Amino acid sequence: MKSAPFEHHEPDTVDEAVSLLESLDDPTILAGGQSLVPMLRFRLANPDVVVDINGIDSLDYLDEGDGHLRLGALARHADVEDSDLIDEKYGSFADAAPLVADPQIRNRGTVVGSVAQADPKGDWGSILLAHEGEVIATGPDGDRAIPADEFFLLPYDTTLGEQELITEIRVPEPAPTEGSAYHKLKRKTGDYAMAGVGVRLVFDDDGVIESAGIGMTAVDITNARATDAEEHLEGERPSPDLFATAGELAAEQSNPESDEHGGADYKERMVDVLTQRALSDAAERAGTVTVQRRVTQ
Amino acid sequence: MSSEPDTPDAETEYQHDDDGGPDPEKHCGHGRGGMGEEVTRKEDKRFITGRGNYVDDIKKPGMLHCEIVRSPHAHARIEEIDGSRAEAMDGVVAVLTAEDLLEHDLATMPTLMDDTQDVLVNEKVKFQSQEVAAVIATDRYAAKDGAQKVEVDYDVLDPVVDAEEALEEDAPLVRDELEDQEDNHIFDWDTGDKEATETVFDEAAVTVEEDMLYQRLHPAPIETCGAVADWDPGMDKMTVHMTSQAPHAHRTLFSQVSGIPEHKVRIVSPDVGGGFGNKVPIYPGYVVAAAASYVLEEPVKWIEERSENIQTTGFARDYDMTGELAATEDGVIEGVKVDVLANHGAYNAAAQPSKFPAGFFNIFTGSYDIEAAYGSLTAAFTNTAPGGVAYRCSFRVTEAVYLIERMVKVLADELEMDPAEIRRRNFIPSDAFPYESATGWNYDSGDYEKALDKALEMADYDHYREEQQRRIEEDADKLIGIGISSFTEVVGAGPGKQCDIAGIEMFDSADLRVNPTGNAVLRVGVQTQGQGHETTFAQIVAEELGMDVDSITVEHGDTDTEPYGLGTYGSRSTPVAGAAAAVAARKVRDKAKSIAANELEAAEEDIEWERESGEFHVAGAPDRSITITEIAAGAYMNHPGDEEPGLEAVNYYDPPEMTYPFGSYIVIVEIDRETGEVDFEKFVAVDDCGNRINPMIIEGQIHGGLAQGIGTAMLEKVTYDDNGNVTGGDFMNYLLPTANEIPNFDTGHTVTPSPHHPIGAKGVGESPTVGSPPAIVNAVVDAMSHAGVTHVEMPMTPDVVWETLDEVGLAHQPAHNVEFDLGDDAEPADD
Amino acid sequence: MTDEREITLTVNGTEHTIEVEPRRLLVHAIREDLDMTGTHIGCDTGNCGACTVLKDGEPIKSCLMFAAQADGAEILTVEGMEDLPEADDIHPLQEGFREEHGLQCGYCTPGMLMAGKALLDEHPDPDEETIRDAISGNLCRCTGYQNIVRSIEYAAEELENRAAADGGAVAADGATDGGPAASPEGGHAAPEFGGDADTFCGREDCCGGPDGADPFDRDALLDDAGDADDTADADAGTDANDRGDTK
Repeated sequence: MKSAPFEHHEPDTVDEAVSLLESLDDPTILAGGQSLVPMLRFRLANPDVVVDINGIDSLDYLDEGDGHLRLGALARHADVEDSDLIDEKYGSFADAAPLVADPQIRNRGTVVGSVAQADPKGDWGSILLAHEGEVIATGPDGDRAIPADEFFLLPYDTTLGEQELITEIRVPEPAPTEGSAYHKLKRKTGDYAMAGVGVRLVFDDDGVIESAGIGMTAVDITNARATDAEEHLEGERPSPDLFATAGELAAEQSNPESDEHGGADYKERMVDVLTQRALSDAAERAGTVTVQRRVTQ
Repeated sequence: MSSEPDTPDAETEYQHDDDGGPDPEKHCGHGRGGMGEEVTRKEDKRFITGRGNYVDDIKKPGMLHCEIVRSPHAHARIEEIDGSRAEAMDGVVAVLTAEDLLEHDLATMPTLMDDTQDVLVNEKVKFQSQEVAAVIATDRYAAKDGAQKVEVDYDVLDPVVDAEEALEEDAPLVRDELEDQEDNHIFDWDTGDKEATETVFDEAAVTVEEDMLYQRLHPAPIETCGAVADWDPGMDKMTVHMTSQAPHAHRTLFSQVSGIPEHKVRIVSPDVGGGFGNKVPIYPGYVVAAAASYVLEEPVKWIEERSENIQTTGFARDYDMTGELAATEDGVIEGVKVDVLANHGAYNAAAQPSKFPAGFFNIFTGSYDIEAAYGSLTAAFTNTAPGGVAYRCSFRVTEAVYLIERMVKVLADELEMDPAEIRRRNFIPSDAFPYESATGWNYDSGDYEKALDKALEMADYDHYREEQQRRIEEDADKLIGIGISSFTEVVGAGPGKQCDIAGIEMFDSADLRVNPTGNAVLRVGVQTQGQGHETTFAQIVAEELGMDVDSITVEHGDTDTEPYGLGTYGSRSTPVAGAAAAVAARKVRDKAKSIAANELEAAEEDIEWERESGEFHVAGAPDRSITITEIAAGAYMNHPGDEEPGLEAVNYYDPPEMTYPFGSYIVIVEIDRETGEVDFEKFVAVDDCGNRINPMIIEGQIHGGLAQGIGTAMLEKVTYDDNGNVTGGDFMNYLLPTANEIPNFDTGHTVTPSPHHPIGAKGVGESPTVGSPPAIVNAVVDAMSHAGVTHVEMPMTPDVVWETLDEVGLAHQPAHNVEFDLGDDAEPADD
Repeated sequence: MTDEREITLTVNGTEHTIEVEPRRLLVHAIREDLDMTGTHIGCDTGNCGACTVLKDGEPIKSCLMFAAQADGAEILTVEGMEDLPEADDIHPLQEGFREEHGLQCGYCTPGMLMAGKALLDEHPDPDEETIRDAISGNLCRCTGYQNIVRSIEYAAEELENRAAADGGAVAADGATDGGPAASPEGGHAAPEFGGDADTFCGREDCCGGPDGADPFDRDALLDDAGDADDTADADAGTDANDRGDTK
């Protein structure tokens, strides 16, 4: 498979990139390229102009600041996987990173690129939703923060402007009594999700759920929030029954289609299962409960 | 056992223990790298250092590149093809269509089942991605650019992709160009005694029936198909380097298709990156590359993309089967019936001996002594890619083994019998060989109970049965399933009178030349694709001549230098070409005796060859001895006056019978009742391939085949939507297992030599692919059989398994067995 | 639009300057422009990993990256393994693949070697799960992976033993480790054991030889084989079983 010809631009700075986006006709942004390059090779995408942002060193970061975990547009999946900060404080990110594709692809593919791609089967969008994070878009008029809830429109379609570049995604730093987790089912390494669920639970000092965020993968036309389940959880103490009902509500709110990754009914039931599993992990990580499995095997 | 006239009797001295085979615990041979030794592979160095030479590595001066324009539709008439925009592009040299090929009489090619396939579509597209035009350009990218600019007008027709629908009266006609073809029916076939079988079923105490689909698979070697064709107008010679499992057969076919005399066609199969049956047929790409080279008088390279490979080249299986067993109440199987609907795609292009339209499917009585058997099959055309290749198996044996091994489990569950016990009760007894089956196969040797017993012990069977029961009783979240398969394969085609490829009998060949300095070159007609022939065939010669394995080079794959052979597939290399190598070596040994006599100044009849030392000596005088190295020198420098100089021999070996390797596999799975995910807890494989040439290579073959069996059972399927679009046509969607999906395997073996094979060996490379899928499915079914599950279709992805769990009420929710300990801090305050 | 541009790739330590179109994949630049065909192509979706090379020390799929994006980068391919500092004649990983039968058709092998190299650079003593994950971006259709895992374990042990030998002080550890063949899965071979070519066949469950020792030492045999065929065997030995450590 060989791409059609294109013009290749390699800006060194965000400003340069943005002015290229402004001046060029319908450019395509190339970051990690692990989804885009196959599309170019199959000639499913035939852009005349490619703006390759890999040379913009200022976008290569994963850190905390302004009360947020911040991932620059060049933070690779492997950067998340290898980060001690992530291991310590961001359970959902730590869960998701090693489940993305395979090791070589994680070395090249970027988290922001995956969010920008807006494939409903992508993992990071669900985590961004669960954490009520933001997408930082930089355009001719400077930066704007798009709440995750307002970002995804349709498969592969977002509210990002044509002349904008996503320079960062961010999620709030966790409270001390917060926990998060991501669970995903796939058929094999390298496969996209059959279903996935990311959750974030914030507890008050009495062990009551103050706030809940649940994002779902591969069960709707975009990554989607399970708001009914979130509402059901808030103000309650964790229990198997509470989580079971939340799982049920999330499943009801999901809207999967039957495809090669499984039947709609299966995916809906798995939203239920994965939501319960992720909630248990998140509650445990927040330090509020210890989960006892009476019979595990 | 009989053998062909010029074949010496099976070497009894090699079979050096009471069972007629070497003691597996003492298989270590004589230290020269002969039979039974774990010699590291002679071919490895070039592969581990990046010096392999695969077709795409070949670069020739002036070489052009070919890109094929393919139909996006599954069924459509071509109204017009306009290549002018493509031809005008930089780098594009030519655009070829069926019209151009018609000029050279190259527009069609024969399939291996004597159907006629368009090289480039002449009138009507019959499956998605079928070859419509070819663009020849100065590099790959330019060729692709050109292909994108070829404009084709299609009149799109309704397709039919399902075999059952294809046979309905109002189905779209796939092959309207064939005279007398009024529907999509290709042929009916049957085997066995229908009447006797019906009688047995009528009178049987117990009968069971099960429907099962052996889904469409693709062999998917990691190297796709490709060719570099080079017409030399000065020599009037066509040289094609191509990914071929059968270079000589391909030379004959190429000559027939092109009209170029066979002595002016040279096929070279360089290093082949896996074949598994995919590289047995001829594909349009090869022919297009050759035609383009002929027309343009430049070398032309065609390399298939992965999606092209899966979407257009030989698929495997696609047998929709119904099996029935008749038995007594205590589990003695009296009869077997099977009915198959076979989807052959748009052409009848299965790759198997021409007298066997359903391959060796009639081996479906398996390892069991069954009185009555009857099988029937109907094959249909559909608007899907042609195929039916023997993907790592002898022709259709995989489907047959799946059927019988699944049915035995169904019967065991019906009778509430242990599946190991019911097998034991029905095995062909070890003293009944040679055994003729109800469908006419002549089994050479077997000891099925021994292999099963060994597997049961290795698997700790009783322990897992107890553990399975405990988990059922405790309603545990993970169920245990134990699956068994005690398969028998039939491999090693010929005999030539029964088996042929396009009329050529399925013998094979070896040409052994010992050089004056005592080393040797063995040329064979089979073609390795990773099986290790360069090592194992050298071991056979080392064994038979007392040479060191490192002083033997094995050559293959070049039709200009190798003797004619039928190629490597159907586990036939060791049974046929391995036999030829042994026989050729023994011919050399016979001649060596006369030279030894001359050198040792003794009578020829007094010369003895001793296997242990590998030396020739005078009877009764062991110190008057001579090595093959010294004899080689004598053959060229001091040859006996009554003999021709030189030391070489050729053997064309037509096997008297096929060989019947067997084994028992036991798979223990754990099923997650919440998600339907299946984990392999234990995977035991006991194989018997007769005498073993290189245990390390055999074990490697077993591992690889088992992994493919797991792919089959758990992940792989070529799928189509109703419009005939391939929806599982690349590695994103056709799922090959990775290292994370494959467990470690516990391998074991028994040794029951083939009585008719010169070194007592049987084929082995395909046993694991054939034998493992039913063991895996049996394991998954076994985990749920207490709730009434009798079958789960492959591939058993988590959704498929979960749906079965859910149907029979075995699915669990996470809350099922979970308690939360809220801890002191989280307790609600009392006040 | 198809303007070519000049890029510099340092492949296996040698700097190459080539002209490429922006759309040219790195794998095509390596295979066709630089004529290093050890790196293979097996798919068009980035799943198979046959094209894996190390770019600045990290394993990447060279079919999912444009050559222009590697401008200025250091690339390691299979052809460079023999020249790495840890290689004697061949690299311990290459040796491991041969000794443990970690390859059959050889097509995926270069990519596997690259994935293995990247793993051992980062985790010199990986457990089986880590090895399996490290090669999970590389498809093999022949081996069932088990012997590839063993091959990488072999190399890890071999590198550790060498480091121990170099360092001296940790030699005792190395000895108790017992070499690669002491693993429960068993290895066929551990060349450092040497052994008696006349007695042992090389299988751990056979001949009463030491577990996993590889006494079937081809070179020793050749040396023992007598005088008559010295010349011939020397050639054969080089061709088939070139073991620098014993020659």
